[in-house]
Amino acid sequence: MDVRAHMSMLFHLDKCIGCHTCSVACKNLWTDRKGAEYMWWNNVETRPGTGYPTGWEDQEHYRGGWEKNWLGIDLKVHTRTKALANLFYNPALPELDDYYEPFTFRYEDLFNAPEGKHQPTAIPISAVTEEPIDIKSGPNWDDDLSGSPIYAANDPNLEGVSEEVRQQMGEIERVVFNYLPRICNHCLNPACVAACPSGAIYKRGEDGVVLVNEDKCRAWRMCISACPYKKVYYNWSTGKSEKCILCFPRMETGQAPACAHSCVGRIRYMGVLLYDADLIQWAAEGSDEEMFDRQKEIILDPFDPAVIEAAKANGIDDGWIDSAQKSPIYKFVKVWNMAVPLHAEYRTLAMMYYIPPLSPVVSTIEEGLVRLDIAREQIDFELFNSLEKARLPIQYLANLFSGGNEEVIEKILRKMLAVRIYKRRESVEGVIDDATMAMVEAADTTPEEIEAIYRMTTLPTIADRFVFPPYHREMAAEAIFGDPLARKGDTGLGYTKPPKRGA
Amino acid sequence: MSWNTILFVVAPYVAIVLAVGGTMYRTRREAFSVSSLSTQLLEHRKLFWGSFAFHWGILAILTAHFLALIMPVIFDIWNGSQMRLFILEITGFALAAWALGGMLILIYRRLTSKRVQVVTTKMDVVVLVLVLAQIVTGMWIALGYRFGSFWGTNVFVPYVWSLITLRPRPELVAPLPFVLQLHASLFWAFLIAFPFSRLVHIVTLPLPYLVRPWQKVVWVRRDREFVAKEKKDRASAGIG
Amino acid sequence: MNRTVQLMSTTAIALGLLTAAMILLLPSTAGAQEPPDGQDVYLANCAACHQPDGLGVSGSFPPLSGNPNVQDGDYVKSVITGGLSGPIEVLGETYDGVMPPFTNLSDADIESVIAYIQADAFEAAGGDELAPGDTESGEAIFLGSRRLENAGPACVACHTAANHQSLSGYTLGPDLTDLAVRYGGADAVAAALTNPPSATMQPMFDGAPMTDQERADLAAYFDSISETQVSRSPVDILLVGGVIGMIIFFALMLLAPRSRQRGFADQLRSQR
Repeated sequence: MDVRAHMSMLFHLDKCIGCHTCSVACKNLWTDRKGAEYMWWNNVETRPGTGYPTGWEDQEHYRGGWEKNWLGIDLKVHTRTKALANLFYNPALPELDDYYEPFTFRYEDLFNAPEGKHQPTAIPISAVTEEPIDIKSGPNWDDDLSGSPIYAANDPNLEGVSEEVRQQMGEIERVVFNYLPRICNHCLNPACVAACPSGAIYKRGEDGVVLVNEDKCRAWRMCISACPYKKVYYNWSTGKSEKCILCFPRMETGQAPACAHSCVGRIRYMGVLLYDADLIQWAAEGSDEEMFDRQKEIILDPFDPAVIEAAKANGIDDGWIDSAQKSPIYKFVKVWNMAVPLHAEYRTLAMMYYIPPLSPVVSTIEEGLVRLDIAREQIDFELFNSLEKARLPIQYLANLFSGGNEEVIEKILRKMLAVRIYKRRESVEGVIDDATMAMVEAADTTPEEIEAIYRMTTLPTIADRFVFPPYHREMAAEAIFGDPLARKGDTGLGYTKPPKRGA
Repeated sequence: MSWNTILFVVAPYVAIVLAVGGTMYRTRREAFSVSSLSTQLLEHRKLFWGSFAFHWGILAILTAHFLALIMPVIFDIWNGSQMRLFILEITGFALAAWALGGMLILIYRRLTSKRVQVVTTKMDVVVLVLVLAQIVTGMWIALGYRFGSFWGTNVFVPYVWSLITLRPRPELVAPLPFVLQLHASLFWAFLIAFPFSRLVHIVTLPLPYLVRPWQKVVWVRRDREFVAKEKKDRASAGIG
Repeated sequence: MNRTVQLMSTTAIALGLLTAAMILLLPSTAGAQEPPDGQDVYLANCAACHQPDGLGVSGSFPPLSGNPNVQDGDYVKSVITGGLSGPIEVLGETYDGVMPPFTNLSDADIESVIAYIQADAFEAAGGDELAPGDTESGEAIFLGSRRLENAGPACVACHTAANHQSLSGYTLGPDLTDLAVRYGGADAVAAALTNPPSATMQPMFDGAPMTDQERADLAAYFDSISETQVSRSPVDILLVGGVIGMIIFFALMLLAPRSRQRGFADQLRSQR
């Protein structure tokens, strides 16, 4: 057992309102630079939709992630020799227009325009060429289903969803969508690391953050193709790859990453997970449907004495173990079994987790019509008992999260509904009847667990949501610089030269 | 000092020292600036036809040059048959023409794509012109002074070896035609430009990728070796 | 470019110049010892054509022994450094060989060799009669299918001759079809091959002389082709073949399925 610690984030999609505050916080902090205008280390997509970059989940086109074969798993993008053969032209690289051509507006025209009959306007200009452009797309162009005949209709996750249901999803009274915020998943089996010919990308052992060493990056661009989530970006100005750094400078000082900290819906949680690095290979080699279960299997119980001992032997200190025990992520993922990674079938073992969204609240389910003839006490259970009729098809969510494994999604949704119905009965009706208790049992939960989930979902304080271990940055500084006082008064530990494009 | 001495003794040594020293300095101390500076994200259609053709063509031609340098006798034996000689020469010329075609597409791309122009530096222009001149003079020699693959191993290779063994014999080059001397001199210019331009990406060819483990984990505190090395790098770079 | 880079490049240039200077100085200090011996220089450079006994080759290379012109030192020096071609008359006989400029000789070498020639104390050659050559072996040597014993390059590397026209294009060296005619016979060719009369060829054969048999074979070959009517294809096969090859390479690139594929977003938007 090779116990390691990992900083993980969890997105409670049932709470996300799609306001993009996270994206803007991240942009202002990290990607407000030349060459990075088009990057959104954090973005929020509307589902169904094609996301950003457009159609990133179509791995037949973009070739991201790992592929299972008779030997084990291999990168989908290339073999080692093919990587070298593709250095001169990377056939699977998205083009800038797959993201969008970054733009700004020529604001000075508003002041400098000569006097005339018409109001001056600030015309859009490309942030690359600085020439006027016709804006064709943006980072959330298909927000709230805009342009859905093109975008939502081409969502690869609709595979297996019947034509009839697809039609219904677009009907005006039955229309349905949810939001999907995405950052780098800081995978346990990252395809970007494996694909980098220069060996510039690495995973930090201490907390699992995946980083690009830009001094080693040579712009071969393989990471971008290999990442199935398309969360590594190429800075066209500096000629280096960049990606989400999980705001590690903030985490190291006990603050939540900018996206999580700024989240107005408070949908994000952060904490430590302990995992067994020896099992990574095994976990990544499961079939598509097995992937979710195997990934959960390698997450370890931080209360198990054997795990604690192994963790200590591996240099994980008490502070981290304590933090792992308090981790809200551990609770959601392993104790309550409510969280799933995004696209488990990519086999990268993504370490950011999602709680899938419930469908919009409806009084009843029937083809197109609202039924009013159901007894009051029966209304609550209607959806619970017929999840297959949920507006957001189970198949769709299973494709999105669990590698097509619908059972996993059904269990989670049932538990979430149980929490909702139980607490509604408790606070509105004031009584918990037998029917409700039967439902609680059917959802494989208990009133105690429901209470705990309810508290963690609706009433958590910032300290409940973000549980950071002591990073002991001073120790790292000591290890690197020897004398901890040598750099007292200095600012930062990063570049002392500006990261400028080479000739 | 005659032109012959300047161009074929002084220039090559200055160029080699500059190329080696400059490249070592740049890759160690200015590592951030070392990159292939791909523009594929900005424009990829013309790049495919240009970059693929140019790189593979020039790589094949350079490999042939290198092989002729290290095993000239093999070339002499191979060329002993007229058919083999013709096959080698025509293939070589075709590869060079392929590279030239790619180069012209790349130049056309630089001239026409606004997005690519945004990231084009003066040094890029120098590199394009140098490499183009090198390909053109090379093809000129192949056409006008054949068969280079045959006499090159007997006329030019001994000169290069005289440079390598520090016993330069520039007089070997003196009677050769002007284009040939130009082709050689341009190579020194290429070496001089090497560490100061994007050409430096050639030395970063990631061959270790063929054997390294897929995954890479770095322990900030545990990897003492890594830490010690980092400390040294930083100290020598004047950071720490 | 910042100051460190400037400093670095200046150092590198200085280092390079220093290396070059040291290397340049090495041979000149080593070589300036003994005065050259005229006879050595003569045998190494001149005897191939003018023969060790100084009697030359009839019709091609004039005799130096008993030749009144050699007493004019300046004239001889100008011929050695500048070469000589076209018919000349010596002692009533016409000679029509070609003498290249000998740029590899130093002033001291030239002075010593002139003194040797003027002294007219040539030592008679002993048994320099070559066995008759074989035309087919000669052709094989010309084409390189038979390698020279001392590993010199084959003639076809730089020359055309008869029907070996190097894919109908330009070569580094001249056409050798009428070599035997120009030199005045097979014997003269064989003699000239001891020390080929070209500044490009000399260093190649310096350490790798042809054997007597090889010279004889080549001479026989050149003699046999001297009357050949040369026929060349009107198109340069190397140029045409190369261009066709290039087109094939570009065509092969079409096999890469993604070469023409459009971007994902582009495909989507054009669905409308």
